[in-house]
Amino acid sequence: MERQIINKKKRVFSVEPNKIPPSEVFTRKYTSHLVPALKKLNMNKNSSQVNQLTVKHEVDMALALSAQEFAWSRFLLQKLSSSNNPTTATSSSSNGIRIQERSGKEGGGDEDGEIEEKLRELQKLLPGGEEMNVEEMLSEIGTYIKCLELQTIALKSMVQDTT
Amino acid sequence: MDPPLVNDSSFSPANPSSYTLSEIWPFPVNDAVRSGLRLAVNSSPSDKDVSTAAAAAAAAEESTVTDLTAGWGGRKARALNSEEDESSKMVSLSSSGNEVKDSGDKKRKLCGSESGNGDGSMRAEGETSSGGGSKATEQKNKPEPPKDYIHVRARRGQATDRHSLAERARREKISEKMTALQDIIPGCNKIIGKALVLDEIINYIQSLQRQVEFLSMKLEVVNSGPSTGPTIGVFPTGDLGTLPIDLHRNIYEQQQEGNESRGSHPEWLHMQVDGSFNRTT
Repeated sequence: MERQIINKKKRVFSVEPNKIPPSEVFTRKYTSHLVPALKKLNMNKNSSQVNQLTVKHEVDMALALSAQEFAWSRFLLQKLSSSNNPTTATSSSSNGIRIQERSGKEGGGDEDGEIEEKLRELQKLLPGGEEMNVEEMLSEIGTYIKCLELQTIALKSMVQDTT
Repeated sequence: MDPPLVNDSSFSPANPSSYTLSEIWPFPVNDAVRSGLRLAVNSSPSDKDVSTAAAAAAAAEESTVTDLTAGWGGRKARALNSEEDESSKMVSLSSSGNEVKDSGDKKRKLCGSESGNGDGSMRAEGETSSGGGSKATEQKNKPEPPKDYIHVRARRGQATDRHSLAERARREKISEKMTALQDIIPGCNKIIGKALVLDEIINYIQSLQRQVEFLSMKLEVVNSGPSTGPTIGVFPTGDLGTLPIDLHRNIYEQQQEGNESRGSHPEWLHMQVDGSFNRTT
């Protein structure tokens, strides 16, 4: 049965060697980082307290480690290793408030100013976005979105498989 | 008196005439970068040429590494390619005026078409390329300003001094990237206008981040075993040890089906995890 699954996966790969589709590469790396980390967490759960922060931390760490070609992963790693605070949680809530404010005052605002404001907000969403200039950030955002999508798929499968 | 320098020069890397693609870079290279390299090599050989060829080889290396990324390797290769174009434009200053003009045109055109091809070949999902946007700007036939320096097409009625040229190039790059983002984000193709597209992007990223948070919460519940789960019936624990094999299959199948999660997103927000869980958002 396992052999069948592995063979089925092999048929997917293209004929050329070293040409694994990049989404597969990312997903493999991600799961290979996250699953052992979660197992370790599970083992240690009696000794240290398990709260949301540690799982989220592991999730983010796995994301950063599996996507090391990109600039934002470096920033994410920095953030993770330097602080244990839930920075992502607070930023997402503050951004929610910001969007409502913005739509309220649209009216006769300067068009370019609006766009710039939105770009700035985008920068806040991307880890390390504030240290990049606009062009760089736009290219990094694409890869970040792709990796986030793959991450959600991976997490969903993990949750489904174990429930 | 001097010993023939054949030994030294044949092995030295600073031998401009011996530069061919296969010698610099034995690995297969993206089309976009190969044409950039060819452009650099075709100009008159000089010291600057060596550096652009070497830089293009470095760009080739970088771009094959980043080629592994889904479609975004093309972006970087093209960004590097356009940089190479500008520097090789500088190099061809030494040739005559007509030659410069023609090569300037060619380079712009090649950049436009290569972006189309590069997109087509490098997109993992086969979406429509955004090369159309850059081609549209090329097709404005305007008189070429007779200058000795960089030959860039100027649109009618717009200033042609250096600052606005640079700014215009920068703006074009930004809008190119925005169209690329539009391809990635679902439902963004029909939206016109930078502000709205940016809005969509922001919302999409936020919803993705929220999904990840929610999923990690769920994962934590599953992970922590029957002793801390809210109701044993609702969340039976699984064995993470058997995870990897099935996991890859499921993940792959889900990728094939496409993302259905976007439509069901509101469901998740309302899903009650019976117990004392507080969402942090």
